[in-house]
Amino acid sequence: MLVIIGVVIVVFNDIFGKVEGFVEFIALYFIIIFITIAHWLFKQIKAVIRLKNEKSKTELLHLKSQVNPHFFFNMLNNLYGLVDKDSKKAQKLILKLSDMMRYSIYEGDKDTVLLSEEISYLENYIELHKMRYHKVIDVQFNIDTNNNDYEIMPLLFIILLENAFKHGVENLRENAYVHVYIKAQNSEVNFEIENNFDPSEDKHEEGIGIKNLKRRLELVYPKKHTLTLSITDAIYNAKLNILL
Amino acid sequence: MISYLIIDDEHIAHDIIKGYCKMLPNLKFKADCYDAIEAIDYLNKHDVDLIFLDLNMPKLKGFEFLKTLASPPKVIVTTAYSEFAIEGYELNVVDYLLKPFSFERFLSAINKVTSSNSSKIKKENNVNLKSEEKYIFLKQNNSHIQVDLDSILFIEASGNYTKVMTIKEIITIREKISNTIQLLSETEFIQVHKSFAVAKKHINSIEGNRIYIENYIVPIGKLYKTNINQLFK
Repeated sequence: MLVIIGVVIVVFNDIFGKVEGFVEFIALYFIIIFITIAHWLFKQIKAVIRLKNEKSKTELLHLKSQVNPHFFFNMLNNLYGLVDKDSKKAQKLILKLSDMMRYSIYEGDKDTVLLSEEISYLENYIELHKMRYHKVIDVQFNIDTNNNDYEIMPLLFIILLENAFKHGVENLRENAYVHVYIKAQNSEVNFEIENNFDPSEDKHEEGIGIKNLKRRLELVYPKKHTLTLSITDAIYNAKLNILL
Repeated sequence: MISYLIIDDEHIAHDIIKGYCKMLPNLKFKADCYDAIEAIDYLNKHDVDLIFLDLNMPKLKGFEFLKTLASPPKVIVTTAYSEFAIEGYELNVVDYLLKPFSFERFLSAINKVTSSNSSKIKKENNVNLKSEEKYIFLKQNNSHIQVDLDSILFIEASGNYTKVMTIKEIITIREKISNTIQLLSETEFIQVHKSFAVAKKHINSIEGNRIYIENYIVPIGKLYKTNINQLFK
């Protein structure tokens, strides 16, 4: 660069032989250089921002939970057995299962869904789980939405519900319970779930599901959500609060 | 007879297995266990030949349970998880069934159990033959009739009785067909139908679903086709 400038200076000194012309030329030269650099920088920054957006979008897509495949296979096995014994009930459950599959495949890809759709998805999940086990489980599902519907990112709550069944109900031989409470008002959605578990069986280390949930909340509801997970004795409690 | 135990926390899975086993002649249901703890209790007091084992259960997982058994019976794993199959090999399970499984797949798992059983008996029989046990006594009504094992063509179940067809006579004994086969020799006889077992060496020909022996025609049951196919190997 310096060499080029030096050569240019020598050449212009020869041509004009005057200082004024040379100064004008140098000023022009630096302005052009500056504009070029600014333009290049602007383009780079724009590309970085675009890349970042795309990254968070694909990350979000990647993080979107899919219902545990084992759940589907176990349900299919139960339906397989139920067809002979109680075909009416089997038909009912097949519809519930297909509703769930359709929802997690198609609605799960959307940016937002209606809270009421999300709730019926959770209800189907609970219904199907109830028929699985020989043991009796106490599941309570309370909804307080004042008939308001909200738009919300899909498949957030199912992660917490799935965990309650996986770490609680599945590992307990008896007296398992899962209590769910959903409240929606003033553009605020509260989701609370509580379940008991066997402390000797489950260490309750943070799994990939919760990690993904946290990351998704950060990407979509930055500084507009709180997620509190707490363990007391043999009871696990999760509270998720989202400001819409 | 193979006695079996089902360990699974999902009750419908029990129904499926029991339904399949009812279609097979020589499986005897022993108990339902809904977790491994129940199974340990049961096995402390009873013996079984075969366990259908689910892996994902409360308190004690399937394979951990299996490791606690000093001399485990034969195990067929039934699960929705495919990722534990390798561990199954290490624990010597007979077969690994992925839920939901068809009757055909189930049957091939059962055949693995029975074939490993009969190979054991084969060894015992060889010993027996050396000591020249070629004759047995069969009890018909109040008489004991001595029968040359070589002269038996086939046996047929009829209710609680089994008819033993020999070259010269028909002997009816008060015994189930599955017990009769064991009484004879599992290497010489082969079950071809729920109600029939034939002596291999007396088979004249096999055509479609029929076996021709002397002047008799014996049917082949759908479920026993694999037994027949083994003859051709």
